Amino acid sequence: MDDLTCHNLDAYIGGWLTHDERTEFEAHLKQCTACRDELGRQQQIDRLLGEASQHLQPPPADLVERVRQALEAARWRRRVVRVAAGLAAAAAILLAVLVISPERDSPSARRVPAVHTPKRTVTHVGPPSELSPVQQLAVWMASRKASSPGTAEYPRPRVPVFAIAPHVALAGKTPGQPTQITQPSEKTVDGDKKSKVVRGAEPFNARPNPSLRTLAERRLTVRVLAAPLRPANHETKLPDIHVKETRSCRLHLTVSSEHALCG
Amino acid sequence: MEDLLPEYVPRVYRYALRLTHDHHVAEDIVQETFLRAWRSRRRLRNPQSVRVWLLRIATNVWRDRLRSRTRHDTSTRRLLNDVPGTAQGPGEAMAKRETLHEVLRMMDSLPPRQRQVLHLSAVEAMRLDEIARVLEITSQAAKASLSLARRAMRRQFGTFEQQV
Repeated sequence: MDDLTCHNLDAYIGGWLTHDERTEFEAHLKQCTACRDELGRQQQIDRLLGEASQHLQPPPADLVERVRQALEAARWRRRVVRVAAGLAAAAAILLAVLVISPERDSPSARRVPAVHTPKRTVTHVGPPSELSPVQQLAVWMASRKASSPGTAEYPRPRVPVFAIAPHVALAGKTPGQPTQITQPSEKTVDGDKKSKVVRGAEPFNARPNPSLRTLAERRLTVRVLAAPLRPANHETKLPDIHVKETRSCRLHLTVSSEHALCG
Repeated sequence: MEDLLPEYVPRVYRYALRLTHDHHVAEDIVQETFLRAWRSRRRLRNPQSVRVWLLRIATNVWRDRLRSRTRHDTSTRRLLNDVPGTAQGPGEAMAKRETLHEVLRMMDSLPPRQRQVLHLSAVEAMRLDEIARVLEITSQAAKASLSLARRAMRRQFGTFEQQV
């Protein structure tokens, strides 16, 4: 038995030999009894294996049906999951639309320009939705901060304070400067809007003023959404509002918008 | 997918039975195989290779089960139906059944990889490249495993013939 040639028996059985190798091995088979026996044995094994597999117990008669039912159940599960996910997404979007204004993420809502012209009178009387609820809330929070005494570590922010009650607008001034409080329907300040200007008032962060305190209380009892702020004319910029400081306020808005915005 | 079930459920079942030697486990593997196949049905780009695809999934299911469970070994004898005795006497049918039992027992004694390769080659009549794709190995590795399996089977079958 030629070991080198006999070694090709498996390759011959598997059909992995080239044409020349195959011819050579078939010539070898005529002379090698051991290879012929091995080849015959292998063919018998292959035949028996195929036969044995056919005689193996077939799958249960209902296995195909069970697989079909399992597939159908999986399909239903996927449909249910998709519908639930869609409903959840829709609910989340709806909630976001209801709670958060579309302007929240806009650059204008994040960055409110500072007031660089404190001498100019700023009167905010205008139709609702001139400012986003977040901006209104930021103004409201700024007024609350400004009315607090502050500490050495966290001093009171020096920001203009606006009263944002409906039909009442507070002219923003830098601290220490006189502030004008306007009321509508008395004097025209902004286009066709009429406001009554009350002079002599001081900002909240300057010193306590009874009229302003009353104004603050009124502010707290009035729904903020109904009293947006708007510059008296287009040359005046909005007051400097630190949006970062209103983060907690936004959280509050999210949890309970009605109570956060109403006094 | 439903169209494939009548043809391929028995194939996958036979293959799973060869791997697990347990009817219940084989049925579980069949169900899991077709569920996975349904989930990943978009990955089947060539419908011609559905057999390779399904058996590869079945192999993976079996591997996953091996990792998590102990192997349930049962006797090969229980896995055989009665060999039909048409045109054969009772003695011949019994002798043939015994031979089939013995061949399957030899096959089951092989290492898992050789057993898989031999089943895919002898029972499923797969080509070497198809076997390699089912087992996710190279063709050379499949060829080596098949050669080893065949030699081991010939050696055991020669011993069996001498005993008989």
